Amino acid sequence: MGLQLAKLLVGEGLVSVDQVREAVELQRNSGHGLGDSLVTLGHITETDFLGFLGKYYGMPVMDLDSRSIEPEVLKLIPQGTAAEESLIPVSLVGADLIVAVSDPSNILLMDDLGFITGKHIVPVIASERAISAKIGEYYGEIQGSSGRESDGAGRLPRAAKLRSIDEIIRELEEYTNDNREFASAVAEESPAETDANEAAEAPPESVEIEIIEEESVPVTDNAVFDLTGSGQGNGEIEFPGGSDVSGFTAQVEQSETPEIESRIEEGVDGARERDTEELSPLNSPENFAALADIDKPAEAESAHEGASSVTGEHDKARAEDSSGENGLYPVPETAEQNQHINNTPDTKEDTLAASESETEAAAAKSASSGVEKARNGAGVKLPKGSVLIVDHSPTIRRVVALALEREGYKVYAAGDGMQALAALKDITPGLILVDINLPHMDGYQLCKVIKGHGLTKDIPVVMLSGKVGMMDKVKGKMAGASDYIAKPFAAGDIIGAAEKYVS
Amino acid sequence: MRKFFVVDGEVEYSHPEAGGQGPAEGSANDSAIESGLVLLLSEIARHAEEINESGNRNPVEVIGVLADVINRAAEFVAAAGIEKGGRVLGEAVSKSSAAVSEAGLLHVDNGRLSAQTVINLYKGWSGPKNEKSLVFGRIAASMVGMLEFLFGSIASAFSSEKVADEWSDAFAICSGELSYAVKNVKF
Repeated sequence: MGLQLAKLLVGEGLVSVDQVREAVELQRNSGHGLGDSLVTLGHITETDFLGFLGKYYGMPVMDLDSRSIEPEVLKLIPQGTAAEESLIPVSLVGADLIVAVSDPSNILLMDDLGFITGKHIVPVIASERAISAKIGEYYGEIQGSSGRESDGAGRLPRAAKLRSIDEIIRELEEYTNDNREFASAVAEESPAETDANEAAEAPPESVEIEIIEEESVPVTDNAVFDLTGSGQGNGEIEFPGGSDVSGFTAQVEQSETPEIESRIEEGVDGARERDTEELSPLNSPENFAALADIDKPAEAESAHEGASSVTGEHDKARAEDSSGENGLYPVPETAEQNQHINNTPDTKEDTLAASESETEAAAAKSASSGVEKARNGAGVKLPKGSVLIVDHSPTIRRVVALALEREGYKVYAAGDGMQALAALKDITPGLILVDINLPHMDGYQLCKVIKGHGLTKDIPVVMLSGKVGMMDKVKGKMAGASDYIAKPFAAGDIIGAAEKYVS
Repeated sequence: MRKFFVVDGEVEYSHPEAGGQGPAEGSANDSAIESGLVLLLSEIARHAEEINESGNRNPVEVIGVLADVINRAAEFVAAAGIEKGGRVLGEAVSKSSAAVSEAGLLHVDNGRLSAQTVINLYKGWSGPKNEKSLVFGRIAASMVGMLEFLFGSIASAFSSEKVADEWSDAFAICSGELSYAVKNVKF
């Protein structure tokens, strides 16, 4: 959640980039989450932080400190999972298992928990500190069994997240320069040329940002469970999932945050991503520039991704290459990245070796050309929004990307459902194009997962398939798909869908 | 701004007059070609998927599918005014035959690649099985090579070098995907 969270918090003006940087440093040493680190440093109060998460993710916030948990509920989730993922089961209401989590963005985790427990998971947000304390209190200390160290509160170091932390630090260090470079590129294209530094520091002169006042958008109910005092309130509250959970005294805070839409008239590729659209009036131009840049590392990941999804071996190589990554990459894929397909290796070792060398070269090329591509892309239009294409065929991913990029859309691509779900932790595309025939998890299943999660349920999904039977279309509709495009498709089919569904 | 033409299955690419193109005409021509290529490459990807799914159940059909793919690409070359389809197809066959002698069994008939001789040979094969697999594997690979040749002629038709590069990448990805599918077929 680190990258996304940093982006959101800075975007909302709740913390500064410098404060995030400081928290990241603390995070590196402590292994705690970014939010926890910000709270520890006093840059944001725990209440404000949780309130923000609850508002953004549309989940209730739970005051966990005085909550008691039944032993049979605890047994539903292994202590190792609870500690590693910073979560704790709180109560069981019928088939609904209420789980307090500190990272509400983890879609895959919710699915995993549902699978492990056989229950419908209803996530609520709680502080990492409180969850950690409860894990220590109820599960006891976790030491030695997994060969990993405990921090004394039953929490394991977040090894898997350290890479993300490194990325944050790197980006925070680079973002100023990068944005100046980017603004310079924009300025060169604009009729009125301005100095690159001025462009970065004074966006209104070089990057015309038209602020359009929209009517106030009601923020999702932010239910704060007041469990202080007796801890046995008498009220009832309806969870987003529709489950009535008795035993809580619910304090529902309804607030309205005036939101603005920043319309970028010139340049700033990708600035219309959801997160940057939802800037609050507190945003400074510098913060805006920082946000516009924050998705950049995905380019380098694209090289690891390549177009290797054609084969199982390549899939494995990719999975190994990108372990800990989200499997997401913005296209384009290049012929260099796909060279190993033409020269299909005879052995897995060959595959891996070829993949490594090619992806390293492609990564360097991709990383070095990021801004250049945005500036010099032939016929690239102003950013309109983003589209995620999920298809096992690298050819389809490539042609869809070419077609949509020409029209000004930012395109992300994933080779299978798992990659797509991992990607959706970090991006919120305006449209998801899903091939039905995917490895591991078919397009219908993927669509159901997307539509079943609070964070992604509102994203339109359009199915792609060579199957054009009525039943296929019905199955797509039942899974929650908005539309259906038959393969093979013309450019107009894809562009039409994007124009129809990407707001 | 360049814009894709909205196309339908009947007329998926326009045929701008060749020669004497200014920048605007060149760009329009590029757009028309690009628009058609989206459909063409998605068709080829679909065929690659078919080969992956059922190639080993009926290997001889793979030869037929590849011939269809090549003919489709040759039609595109002709319809887009890039080359006369029959001529470029003939060049593709002769180049492949030079590299893989068995590819000489393929021939151009009325501007279309005919794989009937190869299919007949496959069905009536009386030699060792392992040789059969090798021979037809080489023929199938040479057919992918023909497709690459056609892709090359399409890429050379773009007026913009950048656009040509982008589509060359896409062609490499597409032919790679098809090549991999074909290599997995046991003829």
